[in-house]
Amino acid sequence: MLSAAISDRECIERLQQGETGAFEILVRRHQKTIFNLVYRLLGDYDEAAEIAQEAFLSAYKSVAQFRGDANFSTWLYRIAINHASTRRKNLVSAQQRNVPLETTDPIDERRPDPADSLERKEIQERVQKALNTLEPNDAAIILLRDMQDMPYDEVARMLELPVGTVKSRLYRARQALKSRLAPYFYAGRNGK
Amino acid sequence: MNCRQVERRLSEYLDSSLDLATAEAVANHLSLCDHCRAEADLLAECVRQVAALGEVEPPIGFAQRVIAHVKEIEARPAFWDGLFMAFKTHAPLQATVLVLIGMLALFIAEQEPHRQPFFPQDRFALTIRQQARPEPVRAADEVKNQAPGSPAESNAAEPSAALHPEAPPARSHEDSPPRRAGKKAGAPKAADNAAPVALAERAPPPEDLPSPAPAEGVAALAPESVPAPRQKVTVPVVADPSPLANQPAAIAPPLLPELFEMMGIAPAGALSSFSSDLQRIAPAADIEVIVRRRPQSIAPNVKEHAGLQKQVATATVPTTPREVDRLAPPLPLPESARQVVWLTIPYSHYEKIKNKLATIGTIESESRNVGTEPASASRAESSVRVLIMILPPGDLPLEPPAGSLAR
Repeated sequence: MLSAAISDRECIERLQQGETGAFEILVRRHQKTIFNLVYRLLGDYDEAAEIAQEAFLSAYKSVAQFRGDANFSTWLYRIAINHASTRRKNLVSAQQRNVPLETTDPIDERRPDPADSLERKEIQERVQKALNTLEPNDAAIILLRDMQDMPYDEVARMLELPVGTVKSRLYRARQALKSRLAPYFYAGRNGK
Repeated sequence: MNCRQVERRLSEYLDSSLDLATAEAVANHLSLCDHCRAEADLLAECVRQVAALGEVEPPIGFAQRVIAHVKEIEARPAFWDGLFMAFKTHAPLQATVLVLIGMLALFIAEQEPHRQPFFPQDRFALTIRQQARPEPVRAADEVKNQAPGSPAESNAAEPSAALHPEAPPARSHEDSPPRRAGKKAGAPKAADNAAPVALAERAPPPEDLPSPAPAEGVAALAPESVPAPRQKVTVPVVADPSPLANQPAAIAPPLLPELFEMMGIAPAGALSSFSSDLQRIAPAADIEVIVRRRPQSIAPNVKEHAGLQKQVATATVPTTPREVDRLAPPLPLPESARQVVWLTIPYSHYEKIKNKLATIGTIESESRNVGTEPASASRAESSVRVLIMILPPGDLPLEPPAGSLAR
């Protein structure tokens, strides 16, 4: 029986030697972060469950090609982002799922206190919708940097981009997100 | 630092990833510019809200489902394993090996275009196709044949090789000059009836082309091809088990007239169904012999047939072995089989053949064309076309084949 304390690298080595049980440790260790990243990229819980599962299975099938020159988590995140981006493009082409933020319900200034949980949930929905309108790579870079709190170099390795490119893309992605959320935030401030 | 420059650095400023001097410059500008400060606050709020997105728990049993799928993948055979699953059992393996052997044999056969066809009827078909080409094409082939060792030359010799596997193809080329000379000498044959006229129309002699002699099968076709220094067995035995069986089903029907035209064979039963044109152009025999087989002369089974061959081969009559082979049926034939044999042989060999026929059965008739008898010793080596009809015991006399003297 494998111990859950072994490192990712050791799990990979055992997995590459045919010890399938090592993969279960990796799945249990990374399932929450991968699922949350995919969920925020897709904005749909069921879709996120399916795509996260696909990402893990892809990682399992490709584990023989994992050279170990990057963290397993970085490699797994990359797989998950690729799967989610592909899925999101398919969903966008299949249906107009992105509702322009300008056409959403106007902000009701008589709302209860923003500290209210309902209000908080509404803010999260607004942010999620704004993320869904971004390009998949822009949304991914925001989520990795701001939600997962990954350093620039890690994001750069994960997206296989130079650090400078990551900074400039993060700037553009944040500006795009700000432009979508600005009406809501301004309204909220005015309503206070 | 102006507002535009500050705006471009706000993202890094919020992440505290700017160098100290740049960060201080941005901070100074933000303390002085309300617009830029509002933009910075708004951007910081966005970052904060994204970071505040609550974590969600994966579905219950998510990890178990992933592991279950992994085990399913492990149990499922890989693509290549599934592809070669047939090799894990014996019967498909044997079938696959057989198919591969068959494909290899076909490949080898395709690689050797001049190889002898395996089946006898294929030999005939090959010969017929080569013989039945239009004469301009044949003339062109003969021009090509002037080049020694050219492929066309070997093709020209192939029909005789197909008919006589034991005869070397080069022999026909050695024989060609005298035969050609005899043709130019215009030695008239008594059987100058409509048949040679028809052949002449079909095959105008390329007098201006110094072509080698045609193959042996062609020599048998041409009625005027008289001088042949060596014996030519132009056609093997044609079995004719019964009049109804004379419909030669083993040979493609469109080739039948060409086949019999080329061979000079006209089994009585089959001849009746041919057109009058074919009968008109069939070559004539110089000598025609009808032999009635004795009841015990042809054995009905293989063993006795082999004994007959041995008996014939050891006969005291000095005939060449190939003559004997040709006289003996190549396959065991039923006693009721009727055979028609065409021979182009030196006249001096005819008596030997005739003596041999007497050992097989009773010579019922012998017809000779006018002028067949050699007038001199030099003509003793002249070729004669002999038609031998071997009738089964008790067989009724049938209509003689085309080329028969009785026609």
